Amino acid sequence: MEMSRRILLVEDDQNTADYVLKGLREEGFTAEHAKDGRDGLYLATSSQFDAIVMDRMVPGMDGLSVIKALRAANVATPIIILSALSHLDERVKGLRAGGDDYLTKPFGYSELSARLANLLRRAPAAASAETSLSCGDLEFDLLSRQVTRGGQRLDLLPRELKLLEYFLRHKNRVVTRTMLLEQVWDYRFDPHTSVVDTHISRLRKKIDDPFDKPLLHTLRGTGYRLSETP
Amino acid sequence: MTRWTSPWALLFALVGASILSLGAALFAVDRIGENIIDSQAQAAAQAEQNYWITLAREEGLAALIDTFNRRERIHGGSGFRYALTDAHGKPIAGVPALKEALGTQQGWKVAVTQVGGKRKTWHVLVGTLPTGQSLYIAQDSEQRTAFRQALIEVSVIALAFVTLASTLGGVWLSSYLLRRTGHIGDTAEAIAAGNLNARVVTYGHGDVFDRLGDALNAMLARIEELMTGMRTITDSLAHDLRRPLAQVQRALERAENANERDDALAEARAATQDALATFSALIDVARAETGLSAESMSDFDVSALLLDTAELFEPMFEDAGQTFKFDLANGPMIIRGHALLLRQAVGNLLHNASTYAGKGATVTLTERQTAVHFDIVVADTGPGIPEADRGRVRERFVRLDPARTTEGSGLGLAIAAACAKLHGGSLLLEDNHPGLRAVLRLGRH
Repeated sequence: MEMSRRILLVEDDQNTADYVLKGLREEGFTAEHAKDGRDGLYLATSSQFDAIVMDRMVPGMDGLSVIKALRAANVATPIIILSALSHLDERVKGLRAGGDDYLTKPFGYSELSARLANLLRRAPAAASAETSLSCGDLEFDLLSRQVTRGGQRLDLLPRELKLLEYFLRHKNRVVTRTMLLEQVWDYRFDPHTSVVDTHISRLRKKIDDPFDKPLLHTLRGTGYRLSETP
Repeated sequence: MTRWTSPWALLFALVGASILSLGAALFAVDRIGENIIDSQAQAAAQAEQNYWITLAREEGLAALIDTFNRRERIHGGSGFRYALTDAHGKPIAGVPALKEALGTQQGWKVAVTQVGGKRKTWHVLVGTLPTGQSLYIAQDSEQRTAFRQALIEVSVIALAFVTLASTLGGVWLSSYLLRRTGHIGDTAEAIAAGNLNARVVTYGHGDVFDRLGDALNAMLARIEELMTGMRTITDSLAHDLRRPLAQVQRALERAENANERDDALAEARAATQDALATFSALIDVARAETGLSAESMSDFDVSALLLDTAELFEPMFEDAGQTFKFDLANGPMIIRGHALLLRQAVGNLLHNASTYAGKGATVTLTERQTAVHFDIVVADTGPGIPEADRGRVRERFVRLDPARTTEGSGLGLAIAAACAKLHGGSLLLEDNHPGLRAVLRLGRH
């Protein structure tokens, strides 16, 4: 990683804060911590961060109000909302207020890390003029919707193309099952995460099985990653 | 019986008031009767007086005396009595004692006489003949008293009958009211004491108490149903959360062994996720059922949503050895609703079909719209659900597999039903001949 990325965590619960800060620092991020909404707003507006992890309910000023205030002040920093309110409506509200992603407590650090990486990458890669995506010898022609590996044409179904495109756009990064459900299918219902595995195994059968070197890797307990190296 | 004190006091007050008014009524009857009799008697006496004066003038005083004496002789004890005195007050004919009592002053008077130790009261009209004699026309008051007494007696009997009848009616009506409201009160007390089975007794008369009782009973039935539902949910929640927790505990024990650690941790993670998902689903059902989720509604393309969801579940059907067909509208179909919840509801129906329809079954996803509804239909050719169970499977935690060997929280159909309700519709479970046809019916506003 180039220069250390700066992450702001706004979280009043000390246990969660310690857990997240430890994870962020181990990953090499520079992490700042605010314990209430007002401090969070002050820090976020007075210095530059690469991403903000914002608890939904913090003292002083409610998380969603902080986000609205930041967006009103033209601060475009990507924001992940953490919330103990797990229901669907809260997610809708959070995203409407200007949050970029929404994670329900309790969560594993790996899930937060994967989502954070996803957001950090999204910001600079605004160039949507690409016509093809690739990973090693796997090529995806976005115009003709054709996929080849080592020059050999692969016959993929539309739903498989959609999934592969997502992996290619998140190349070398961890993608969790819930991220796939939410971002590929806009579906948020945890008991059906096993449905993701059936999609992955089908995709893998087509892009990996006939070839020596696998590209789509399973990360135990976390999710998947498309990369040349395991 | 202390709680009836107040109604009885009211009853006694009413009886007292009716006795008082009875007395007042009798007094009024007596006074009015007396006045009428008196004025009639006076008028009759006046007519008699005029007659005798005319007789005396035309036929002479002797004829008048003769007539009076004859009248006194054949007097039968009723009607008028007469007396005549000369200009000096000396009795000439008739009842002599009257003059003693009255003198010669003209007018309508009351006189008391003592004849032979017998006291008598008279109403007397005293007049004067043109020739100077005084003429007394008297009525024995005993007759009047007898008539008044008869009048009073009849009135007393009539009024007593009316009073008795209205008292009896009042007592019957009050005891009826007390009995009927007493049933309701007893039921309320029984409910308060914890007996939720208690019901108000109704008689099917269709009167106001029956209607009140029926309404209360309907309310009580609903409350009992909700309480039973709550109990079932609590029991099921406890039961369903023990399973993943026990799984976590087992996994943690296995994790002590370095060789099994990775597997065990994955198992613990999956079990924890299961439990968390159950909670999330419960919250979603509760919010949708109470209509709180309505604030998250927006306009979206339901055809695209169904296509996405169909694609997501397609491989599951293939893995289960089933045929999956979907027949959806080509163009966009915009409806107003809760997209995330609807996606979940449809997902649950598809997931259930792939889990329960069995190998070789055909599952279809179709949409159809009418003027008032938008239906999303998931039909399979599996074993279906017996008709008796179709109602309850829509409730939380109800699973038809008693051993609970299949995966799932028992919340899938509850979420679908709550989603349909939030959208002003309902979840219909029908016979697909063979198999199950689940219709997620949404209202179109």
